[in-house]
Amino acid sequence: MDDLIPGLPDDLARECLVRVGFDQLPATRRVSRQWKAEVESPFHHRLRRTRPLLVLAQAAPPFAASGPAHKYAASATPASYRLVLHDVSTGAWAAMSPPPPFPGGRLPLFCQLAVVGEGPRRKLVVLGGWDPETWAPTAAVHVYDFLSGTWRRGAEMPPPRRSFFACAAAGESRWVFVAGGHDAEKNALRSAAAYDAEADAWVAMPEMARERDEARGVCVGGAGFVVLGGYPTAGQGRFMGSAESFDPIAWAWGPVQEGVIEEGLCPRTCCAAPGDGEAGTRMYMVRDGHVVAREVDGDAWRPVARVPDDARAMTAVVAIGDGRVVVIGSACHGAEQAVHLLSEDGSTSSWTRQPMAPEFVGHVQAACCVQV
Amino acid sequence: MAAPESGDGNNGAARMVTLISSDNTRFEVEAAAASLSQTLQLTILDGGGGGGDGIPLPNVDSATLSKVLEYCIKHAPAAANGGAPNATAVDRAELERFDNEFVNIDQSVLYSLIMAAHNLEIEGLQSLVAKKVADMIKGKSPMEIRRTLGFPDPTPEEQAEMNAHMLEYGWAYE
Repeated sequence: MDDLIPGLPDDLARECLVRVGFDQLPATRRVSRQWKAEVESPFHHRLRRTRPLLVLAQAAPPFAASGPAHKYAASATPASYRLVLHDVSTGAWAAMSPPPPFPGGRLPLFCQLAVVGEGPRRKLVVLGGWDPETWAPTAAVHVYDFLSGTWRRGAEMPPPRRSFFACAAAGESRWVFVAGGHDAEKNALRSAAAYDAEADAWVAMPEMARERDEARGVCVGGAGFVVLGGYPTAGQGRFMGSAESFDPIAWAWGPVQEGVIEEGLCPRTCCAAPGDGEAGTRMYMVRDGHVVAREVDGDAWRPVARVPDDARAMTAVVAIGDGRVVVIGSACHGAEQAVHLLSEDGSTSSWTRQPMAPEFVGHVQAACCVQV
Repeated sequence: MAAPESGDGNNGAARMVTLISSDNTRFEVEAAAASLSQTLQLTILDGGGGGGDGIPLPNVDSATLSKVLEYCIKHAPAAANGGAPNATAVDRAELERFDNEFVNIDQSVLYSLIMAAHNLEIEGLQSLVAKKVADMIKGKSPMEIRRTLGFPDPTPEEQAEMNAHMLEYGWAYE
């Protein structure tokens, strides 16, 4: 009666349970006390065969509900964004269920996504953005727990009301960092804050050396939270090439590094490979239609591959580990999105076009990767 | 005195071994197929299982063993190619089709299979059956999972705990 599965030795039952999909965890957790203890144990999560899953903030199809009235209404309203999951290995697409608790499931425009925590503590965090009705910036934080399969409201981002900030989570730790962006008066910000996903609390961070509006944040193994580019209030949209790194152990920013990216280049395609060790120290971005890569302590970007033509108008770039990068874009602005997977193996690289589904070709405004 | 037999084994005709189930049924099978089992592989490399001697498998009954061997015979050629990096897409699709049908069986047979695969250390089979059991859980509510896997009815305490969870997390997954 205390067996994990009646009639099976526990070690074999465990072999079965580690193969249960991440989306089944919430139900499996409620089957029995033994199952709850099992799927909540870090040991179980180490045995699980994980694979990369993309979480996207994607425009819903305009004619989701058919009928002439809806079509007429849809043409008059701006795109409404929803959370979508894409399994890179199987090519499957699905709208996230349950949807985040925004009115109508509509995400704030320009919200940020981050995945934080390890194994049973893994969470997806949706931060900030603009209210899709009023376009007012929001400080709202919503947290999805992969184990319980539920959303809850997190502690709000501390003031000022921040738009277009840099944001990244240090994969295996509890921290989601935000930095820069601009306030309600369009002043570029130097301030930063850290969200503790375990304690559901915001912790103050020292200020950066420079104002950085529209900066990009990535977390890189060995370097912590790196904020790339951005521009000061007086810069009038002219992007800087410098970067600053925050060390979560020393809880301090390092010196400004000049020339990390090209001056004048928007840093929004910058991303970093997840994971520890060597793979976790690599950054990628797209420059002049090419994916380029750089080690965090290296001194130059090296070209990796040319972006396929039907993704040249890029919207999102995500490194998913093992030398693989996903590029999401379209042939031209407003066209259907294509998703391409770049695999780098030694000196060779190759592209795979991911299978698409008609409902999931909308514009992608934010993306992150979770290993589940 | 064993010269004719070993001669045959080395020239063309595949070497055969005999396995004996717990209920004393003898199965003659190609050594290459039986060697998918890490446990048997060692015995076979030492020359066991040939001629009149069989390898006794006291933990595996004949119904289960015949099913295990069906799997091994089908998978042996691909395994011989070292995981078949040069296998064609057609070959792989055929194996996948076979695997899907192979595990479309009674739960009690599945359980016997996974235990046999564990004892005999046939990694591919163990993982195939474990995946099947995991798939049986897919899309089911906690109560349906309990029924599917033959759990006893929940005690009043367990039922209360399950209900408390539902109150806490809503009915999103019911």
